[in-house]
Amino acid sequence: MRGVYVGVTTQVAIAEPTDIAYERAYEQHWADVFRFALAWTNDWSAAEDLAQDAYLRLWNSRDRLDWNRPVLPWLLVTARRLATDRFRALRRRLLSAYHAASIDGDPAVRARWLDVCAAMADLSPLERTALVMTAVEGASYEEAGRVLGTTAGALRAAVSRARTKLETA
Amino acid sequence: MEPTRVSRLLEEWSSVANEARRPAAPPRGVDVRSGLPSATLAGASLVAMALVLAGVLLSRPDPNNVGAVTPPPSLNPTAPPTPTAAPTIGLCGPDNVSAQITLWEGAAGHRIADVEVTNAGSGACTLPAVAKPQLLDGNGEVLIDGSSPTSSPMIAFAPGAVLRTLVQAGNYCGPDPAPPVSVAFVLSDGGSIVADPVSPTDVTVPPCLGASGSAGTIEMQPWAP
Repeated sequence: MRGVYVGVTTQVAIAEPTDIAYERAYEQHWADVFRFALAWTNDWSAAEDLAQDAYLRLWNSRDRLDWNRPVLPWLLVTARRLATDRFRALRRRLLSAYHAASIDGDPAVRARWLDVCAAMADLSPLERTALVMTAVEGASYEEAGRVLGTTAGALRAAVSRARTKLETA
Repeated sequence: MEPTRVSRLLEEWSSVANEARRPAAPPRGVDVRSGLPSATLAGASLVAMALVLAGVLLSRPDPNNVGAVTPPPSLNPTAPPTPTAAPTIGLCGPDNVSAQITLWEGAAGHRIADVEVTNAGSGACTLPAVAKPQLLDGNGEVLIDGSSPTSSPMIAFAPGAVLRTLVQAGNYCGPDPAPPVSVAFVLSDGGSIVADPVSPTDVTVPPCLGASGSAGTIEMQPWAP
């Protein structure tokens, strides 16, 4: 369990310049945002793209953001919204290149990812993300529900469906 | 207790996800992509019309300036007025505009360059909303050649103004490119605007998805503010 969602408090002193706070948020949470995006999209390149886009949004919103509040939930909600609107259209257009281009780097990692990706492909984005957030990242259903824009009850049902699909695949 | 298939799978998912490499520097810049994927030539036309209209309005006499002292018209001009041709706005070119790749982004099987162009000249010029894009290596060799648009609305480009576009490239199956990789926009008069690369060592090219040597693809969104 990574437990990154439990008690996340990337708190920054008010006097700290926002660019430093931004860099700190990038160092601390990029992996979390990427993993969230990976769970949602099941696509390595798309997840990298979404993580960068979420940080671009954070950069553009840096002057309006309350940096004394945890920034990770903001990033995750932004990544989800990006994934569900603009990026979905882009993905449809590029779908033909979907698996082949998932990882450009280490072939061993690429092979492992393709196996995992195929196993998770039958789950919906909500099922996959709910399962990863609660079973891997250690989020409560309430925390995950706030990020995913749904209720804890709906997430329990999604996780249950996800487990059933994976066990019977 | 023996781990279940689900727990093994999630463990592997987490392990593989940990292999992701965070880009060294966080992205900074203006997020220009939110509206652009749906941008159309019609949209670019509206932008062009707005810019032209703004230019016309700016060139009108200031109605608040009616009290200003103006020289009286001479009753005996020493020289007859001669008609002057209406000023024409020339095509933008490398002499008066500069372009810069601000960011390369990854998308499934593609690479997308965020490009800004600035009118660095002292006067307005016109820029086609779309041009033929090319992916170039550091030696100026064309790695991927785009298509020339059949037609394009023209954008009146005021001095100091900035326009942005996205250039999406896919399927580069050639040899490793010489750095730095950049993007060029070939204009209708044969000239081209070459964007400065993101870094002197950048070798961003899209992954090869087809057979070795197969042709790549490159296309651009219309320029927009």
